[in-house]
Amino acid sequence: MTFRAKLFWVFTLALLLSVGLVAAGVTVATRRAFDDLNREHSDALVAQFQREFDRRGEEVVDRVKAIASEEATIHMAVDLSLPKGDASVYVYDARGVSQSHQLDFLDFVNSDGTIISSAEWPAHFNSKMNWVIQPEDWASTGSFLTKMDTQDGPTLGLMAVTQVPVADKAIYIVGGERLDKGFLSSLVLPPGMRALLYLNLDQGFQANDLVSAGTPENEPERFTSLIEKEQASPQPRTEKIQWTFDPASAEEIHALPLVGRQKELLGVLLVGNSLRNVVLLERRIRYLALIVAGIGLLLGALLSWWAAARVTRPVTKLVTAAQEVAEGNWSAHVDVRGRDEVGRLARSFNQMTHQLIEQRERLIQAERVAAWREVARRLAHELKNPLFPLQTTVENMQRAKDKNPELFDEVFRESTRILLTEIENLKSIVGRFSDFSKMPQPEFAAVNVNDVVRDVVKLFEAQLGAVGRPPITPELHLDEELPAIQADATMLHRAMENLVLNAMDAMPAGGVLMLRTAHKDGTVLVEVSDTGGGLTPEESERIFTPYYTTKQHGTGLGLAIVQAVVSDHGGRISVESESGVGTSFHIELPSHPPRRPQKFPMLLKQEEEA
Amino acid sequence: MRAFAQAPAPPEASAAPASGAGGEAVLPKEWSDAVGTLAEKIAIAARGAGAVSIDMRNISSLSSAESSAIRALFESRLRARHLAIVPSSQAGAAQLILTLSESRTAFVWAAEFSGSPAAGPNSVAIVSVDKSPGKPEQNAKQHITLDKRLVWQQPSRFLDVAVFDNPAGSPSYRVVLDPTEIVFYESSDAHWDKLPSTVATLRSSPWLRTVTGRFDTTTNEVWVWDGNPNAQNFPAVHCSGPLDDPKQIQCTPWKHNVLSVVPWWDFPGHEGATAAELWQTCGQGSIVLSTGNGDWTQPDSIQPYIVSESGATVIPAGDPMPMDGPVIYLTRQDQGNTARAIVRNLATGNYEAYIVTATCSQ
Amino acid sequence: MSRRLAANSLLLALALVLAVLPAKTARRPGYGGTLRIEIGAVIHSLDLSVAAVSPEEAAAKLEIDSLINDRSGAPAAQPAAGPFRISAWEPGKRLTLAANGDFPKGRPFVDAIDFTMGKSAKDRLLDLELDKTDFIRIPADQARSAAESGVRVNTSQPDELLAILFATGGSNAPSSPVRQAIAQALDRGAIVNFVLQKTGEPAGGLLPQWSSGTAFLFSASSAPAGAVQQVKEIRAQNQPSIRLLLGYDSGDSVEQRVAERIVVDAREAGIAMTAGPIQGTSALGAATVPPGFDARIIRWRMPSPRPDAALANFLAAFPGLAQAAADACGPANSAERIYRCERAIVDTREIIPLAFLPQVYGLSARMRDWQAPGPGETWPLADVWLDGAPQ
Repeated sequence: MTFRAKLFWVFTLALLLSVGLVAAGVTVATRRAFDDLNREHSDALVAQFQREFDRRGEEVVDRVKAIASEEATIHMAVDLSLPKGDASVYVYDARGVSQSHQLDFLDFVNSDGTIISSAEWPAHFNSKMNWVIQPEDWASTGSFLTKMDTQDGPTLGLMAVTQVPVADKAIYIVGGERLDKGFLSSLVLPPGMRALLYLNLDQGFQANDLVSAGTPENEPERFTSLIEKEQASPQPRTEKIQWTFDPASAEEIHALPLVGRQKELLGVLLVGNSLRNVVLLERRIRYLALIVAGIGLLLGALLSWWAAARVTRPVTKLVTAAQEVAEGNWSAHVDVRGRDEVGRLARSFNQMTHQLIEQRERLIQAERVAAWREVARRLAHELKNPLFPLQTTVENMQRAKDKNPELFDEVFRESTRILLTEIENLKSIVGRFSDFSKMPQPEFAAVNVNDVVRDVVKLFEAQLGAVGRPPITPELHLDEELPAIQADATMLHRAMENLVLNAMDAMPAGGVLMLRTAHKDGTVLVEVSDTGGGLTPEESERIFTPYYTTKQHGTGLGLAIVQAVVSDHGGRISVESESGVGTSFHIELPSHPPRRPQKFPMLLKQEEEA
Repeated sequence: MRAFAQAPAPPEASAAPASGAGGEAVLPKEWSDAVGTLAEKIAIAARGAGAVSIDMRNISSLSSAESSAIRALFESRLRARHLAIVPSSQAGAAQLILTLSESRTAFVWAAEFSGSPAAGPNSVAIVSVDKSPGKPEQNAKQHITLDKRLVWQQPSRFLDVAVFDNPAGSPSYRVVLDPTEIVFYESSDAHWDKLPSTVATLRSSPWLRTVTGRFDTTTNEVWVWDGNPNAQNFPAVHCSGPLDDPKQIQCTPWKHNVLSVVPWWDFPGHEGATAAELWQTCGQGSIVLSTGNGDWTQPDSIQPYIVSESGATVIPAGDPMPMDGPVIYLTRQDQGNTARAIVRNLATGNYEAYIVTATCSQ
Repeated sequence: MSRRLAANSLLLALALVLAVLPAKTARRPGYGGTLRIEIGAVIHSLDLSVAAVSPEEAAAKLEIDSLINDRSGAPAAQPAAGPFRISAWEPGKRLTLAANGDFPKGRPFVDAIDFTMGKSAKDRLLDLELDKTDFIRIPADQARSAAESGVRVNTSQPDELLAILFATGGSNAPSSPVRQAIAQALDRGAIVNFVLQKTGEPAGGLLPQWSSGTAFLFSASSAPAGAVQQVKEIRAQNQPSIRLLLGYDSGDSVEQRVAERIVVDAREAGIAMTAGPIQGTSALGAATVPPGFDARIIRWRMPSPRPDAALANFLAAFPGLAQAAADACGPANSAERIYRCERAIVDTREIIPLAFLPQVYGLSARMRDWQAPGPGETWPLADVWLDGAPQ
């Protein structure tokens, strides 16, 4: 990832984080505000319901009292207080009275608890309603909830009881309203709110006991946990129920326990407050926020990109220049005019490269001088050998001429022979130097290194198994899927020859010559290993130095040539050796050569002169 | 055809049980036979028990005298079958519940028995005896001057009845005037057998529903006419001949004059009431019996009046005697202080003829 | 003596007062007038071979047939003309009969009878009170309230048995212990006193006391504690819950109220019973419990006051019961044999008698000489006359 991209992402992420934090904060604050509003709303509605409930209870009490004070009721009470009072006459009276007083339940109960007439269950006459005659001050009890038996089973009623005393007896008027769908429908609730009633008539949760004002609940079992909690411990509770995957379907359910006179749980009023509007509003706010954030992020990203570009341009220039420098173009210059750190860096860079160039030139000069000194030293060393016998031979000839003229012809012949031999030697030395200096520029073409290796092995095949010397066994481990690389096949061939020669020279007692090729990530790897005596660490360091040799003969240029070839191909060469085990040379050749390497000016000059 | 014995006064002959010497009821043979059958069944069921205790209940219209007589006879028959009768509290005895019940047409006596090895879980023996039409009603509870005696009853409407009661041992007779014929009945035990000879009076007529008629047993005459005061050109019938010889009774058409046959009395406030002046007087006036003010869908009553000779004063005398239905016919008997009344019993639907006796107490 | 004088004076005064009033009440039968009758049934065909839709319609058709046909002759013979003949007929709405002057047993008193059909019991009562009709039938449970509101009510002897008939034969049919429990749980007294408003009497057997004289041998009392115990024993025998459906004629409010009361009694014994209406009971037949129902309320009217004839008719009407009690029910010619047959049938518990109902009629003020017909008899409307009708 580029510095610009990193910077861009940093800017963008920072922006994203900021925007995200702000959005989250806004969302939380909004939700809290809505929740508070919602809670206030719900509390107000629950209180309203409670008032409504109480009001209905008072109405029930008033109606029951009105019935008790009617002449017909008093007449019935008087009649039934007489020994011959016939309750059968009144068996169907309750229904008409209940309808005229708009009560769902109405029972006339005798002083012994026997039902005289029942509006909600006409056939229930003569049955017992013993709880009515339990000692209780009905006048002060007011309305209450209780379970009532009907033809269709038990249900809940908001009831009131009044006595009509006659002499030492009394009849009881038990009236009330049924807590059912109609009761729920009569409650005035604002839009988005609804009321359900759970009749706690059985153990556990029974879906059939859940009454709603409108259509029956599709999933009554969703209320199971809330109801069971109420059954375990009756107290006002609130739970949220999400009906579908859509959060807008969520509903806040307030559970209000409805208890009877003995504080037993008779029912649970569930007031549902739809959170749909809240959720939709939140969602809308969130979408807006997201859109705004998105636009902001987009703008921010663009700005970030522009800013990053602006900020990184000098850096890029710096990087480019550095790359050029790394590739050898030490004259790369960074054109940055800023006064900030980047500008100072650029100026420092330019200064550095300039100094590097100078230093390099000085170094080159020094190296050149060193190289010349080395060359001179090597020349001196190489030349000294043949020159000494030349000198000795000429001196011998002089001596002979001077002192033994009779021997001068023989001495002259011998001396000329020696002189010619040493002159050939000198010519050979000069020739190798010339070869090294005349190494041409590589001409790149697609080359399969395996072919080069095979050719080299074939070339030395005879020598490897020559009679009179211990055999050297070649082992080839060539990667048949070796890709072709851009290389100079001739120069590679020469380098391989030198390596093979070196390896052969390192195994005077025979051994194994292994050649391996492989490839990795487009780079071709070549390994040439021997099982000779190996090199010491000091020898390994200097092995590629021109004219360095561990052999008794040779100019020491072979590995230098190999290194030069490898370097021209943009590759690398390394050596791995263990004394007594053997030596391995590892060559890495890229698929494409680099730019033309900088040559020593001295060598270029020599090329030109040559 | 047996001649009727003309009794100087209507006897008390009926199918009711006579009183025995000790005042207890003497049961008719049929009743006794039924009790015997019942006892027989119980004795078989109680085989092995040795002793029974009897609880009796009477849910019929039998009088206490009659029910006591039945029980006494029942116990005697059981003893004859070697069963001891013991009190209910005695342990080990078979428990017997004797119930005297009745249906519309018969007395039904049932003995529910349990506790004997031979008895099933609810061993019941039942006998029944048909009710006789002449069974007397109980006397009215009030001490009123009027008395009534049921002398005839039948499901279909009849216009009048002539009563010929003979002492026990001789059959009694009833001559019943139906709308279209005269029918003769002879008593045997507690039954009345219809004699084959009848005398046709009216042929089929559209006005049969308002037909009325009466006997005059002193002159052996029978009249049948339309009781509707607005009837005109109605072919009434007059028959004459000995009532004990149906073949000699001759019937001829007759143009009637309503007022000439039966004296009407119109009582203030009882317009349209039926009245009958009895032969007997009471005090300074005549005894006149009148029906009440109800209509024919309600039970009626017969109210005694004393009417002055001139007819100017009409004074109720005595409590009205309630009847079981509307009195649709009232006429004085041919002599004495009695009248005949025909009542439609609203409970049973039967038409009943009573002899009403008015006793004057000053 | 002074008290008697005072009473007589009072009576005399009353007589004098009444003498001033015009004599409106004629107490002797007279001819003329149109008798107005309202019935609940809707009759579309007077032909007896056409099946009636409801028991009410079937009964009304029989009554009307007895007015226009005289079937007292040989059963196979063509019926003779009855006391009335049809003068106007609007099927389903109105029927007018005119008196037949040629009727051999005498022309009826009234000139005509006007039947209005399809009137509910409530409307009939109202019309009677408003003097818009002369004669109606009143449901047994409304007799008392009608009488208390001033209506002239005429009641026959109880001649109709109201009972529960159980389904038998299927694997789900209520078992004998269940039927026994229900029989014990029933409170007939409550049914007669409250539901039927003391019109009728509790029934333990098939025939009323006035007919057989042995009705007292059949217990009509309830044993709720025994019923509860019986239910416990049933539950202990792997029948954890007993659920029954009791059917009643959908058009009969008396049956409905009785059924609802039976449900209460059963529930208090621990039997989960519910009541439901049955449609088309007339086509179903009185002796059939329709599929889906475990029992139904039935009505059986005695065809004759004679217990032997009535019982024979019952056996013919309920062949299943006759089969169950075949050993005890042969030719019943004595009170004991009749009782044994009745007992055998009742002891099967396949039928539980509830009450004997009378036929209840409402009469207008001017209708005279009405006598409620007995079992097997039809309305004696030929004998009825209208007080105050133009002669």
